[in-house]
Amino acid sequence: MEKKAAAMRRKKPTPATTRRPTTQEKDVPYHLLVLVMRRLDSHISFLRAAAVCKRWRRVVYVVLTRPGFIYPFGHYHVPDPSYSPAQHRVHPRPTFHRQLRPLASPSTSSRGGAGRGSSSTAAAASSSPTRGAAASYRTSSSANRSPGGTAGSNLTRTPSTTAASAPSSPRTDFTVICVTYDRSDRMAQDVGPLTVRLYSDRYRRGWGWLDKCNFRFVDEVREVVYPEIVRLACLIGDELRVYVEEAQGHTRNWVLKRKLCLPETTLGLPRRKACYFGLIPKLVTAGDGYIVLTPAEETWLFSVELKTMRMEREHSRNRIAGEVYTYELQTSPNVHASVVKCKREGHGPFRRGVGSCSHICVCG
Amino acid sequence: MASAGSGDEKAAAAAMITLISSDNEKFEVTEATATLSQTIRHMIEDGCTDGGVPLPNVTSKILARVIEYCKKHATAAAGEEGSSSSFSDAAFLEVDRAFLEELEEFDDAFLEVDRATLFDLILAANYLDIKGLLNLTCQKVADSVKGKTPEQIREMYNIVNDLTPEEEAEIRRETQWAFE
Repeated sequence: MEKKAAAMRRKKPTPATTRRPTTQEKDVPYHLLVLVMRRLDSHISFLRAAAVCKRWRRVVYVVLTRPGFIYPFGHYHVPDPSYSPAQHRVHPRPTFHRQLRPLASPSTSSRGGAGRGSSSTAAAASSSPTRGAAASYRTSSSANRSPGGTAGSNLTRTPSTTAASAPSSPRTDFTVICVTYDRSDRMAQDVGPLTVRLYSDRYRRGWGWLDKCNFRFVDEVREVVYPEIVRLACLIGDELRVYVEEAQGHTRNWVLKRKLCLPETTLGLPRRKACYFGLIPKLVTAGDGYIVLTPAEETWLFSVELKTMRMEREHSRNRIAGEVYTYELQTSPNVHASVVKCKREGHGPFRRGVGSCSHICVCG
Repeated sequence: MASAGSGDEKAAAAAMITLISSDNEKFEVTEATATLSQTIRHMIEDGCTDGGVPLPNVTSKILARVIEYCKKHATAAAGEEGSSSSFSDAAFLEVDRAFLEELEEFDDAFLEVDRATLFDLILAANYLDIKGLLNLTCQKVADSVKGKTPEQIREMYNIVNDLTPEEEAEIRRETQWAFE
C-alpha cells in the first residue's frame, strides 16, 4: 500500500490537482488517434489537423500514406448513371432498367419486380414470358447479350419484321422498335451507350435512332406505389414530348400525353438569354418524375416535372444534375511528417543527390 | 424464480458476469451484455470469469456508461433476432427501422459527454474491444475536429502547440488555402 502511494507520488510530472487527473488528448494512444483521423473526410480537415501539433502531424501523415487508405473525399455527379465507372459498386444497374420492366410485363413484374437489388432484377427480367424484351435491356452482365455487339428486341408488341408499317393507332406518335445496348471495348465492363430505335411518322419518317441526349425513361416519384407510371420524355427538335404507354386493345402503344415547346415556355425563367434554343436542347439527366434540360448553347439547367410540366430554374436538383457518387481522390494532400529541413540538408541516404533525404522530410 | 422460470430464464440468470472496475466497484451484467466486449467474450470462452472480471483500466464511472451502452445494444441485437422469426417481412422492416432509430437516438444522447469522458470511453472501448463503441466515439471526435482551425482544435482538446514558429509558418505557406 505504501509502495503504491510512493509510486503515485513519484509519478506526478503533471500538475495533478486531484488524485485522478482527467483524461486528455495526450492520454489517447497513437493507434487510437489514427482511428480518429481516418474518419476525417476532407482535404481541409486533414491539413488543419496536421497543423495542430507534431503528434497529430505524424498521425495524419501515417493515415494519408498508409497503403490501402481510401479517401472518401467528396462527391461527383454523373449525368448518366449508366456511364458511371462506379456503377457496379454504388448503383448496380442503370435506372432505366426498372423503368422498362413494368412495360415489358406488368403482371409478372409488378410488385415482386420492384427490384430493390440486382438479384431480383435478374429474376424479374427473366420471368417476363410475354415478350423477351426486358432481359436484353439489362446491361449488367447478362448472358443473353451478344458480347461486343448489340442486342435488340421489341419493346412494343409489334414484331420487328412488321414494325416497318405505320403504328396502328392514330394517337401514337411513334413506336419504340427496339432498345439496343452497345458494349464498348473502350469502356469499363458493363458500361455502354444505350440507343432506342423507333418508328415515327412525324419525325424523320421511318426508322430513327435516338441516343440518350434525346430521350429518357422517367419513373414516377418513388413514393407512389404500383402500378408505376413510366413516362418517356423525348426531345424532338426543341419540343419536349412526354409519352405514357397505354394498352389499346391487344397492343400497347406509347401515347403522347403532353408536349412543351421549350423556346416559348422558358421565356419567363430568370437569366434566359435570347440566343438559347437555336440549337436542339439537351436532356442532361432524369430523376424520379423529372428531367433536367439545358440549351445546347450554354449550360443553363432547368428541370421539368413531367407530371405537371412545371418548369423550375431554381431547384437544388438542377445544381446536382445527375446521380451523386462519392469519389476517391488519387492524390492525397501533401503532408510531410517533418516540416523543416533536417540536419542532412537533402543529402541523406534516401534518394541521395535528388534532394529529399527521406520520404518524411522536406529537404530539397 | 426457480419454480416459475423456464429453462431459458434460468440459463440467463445463471450466466451473470461480475465486472470489477479499477476502484473495486462490482457490476453484474448478463452474459449477452458482456459478450459485446471481445475481451470479455474471450475470457468467458476460456472460462476464467469466476469470481468476477477485474478491469484495472476502467473506472466505475466509465464502466457504468460502457455497460449502459452494451445493455442497449445487446437488447437491440436480441430484439432483431427475435423479430426476424416472428414477423412478416414488412413488419420486420418496420420493427427494424424503429429499432435502428431508437438506437441512433440512444447513441446520440450517449455521446453527450465532456471531452475527458469521451476520451475515457475511447480508451475503455479499446481496452474492452467493443467495436461499435470505439467506432462511435472515434467518429464523435473526428466530427468535432472537422471544419475547425488548428487553433480551435488545440483549444478544444488542450493540446500544446509544439511546432516551432518556423515550422508553423512553413505549414501555412505550403497550404495556405486550407487555413483561410
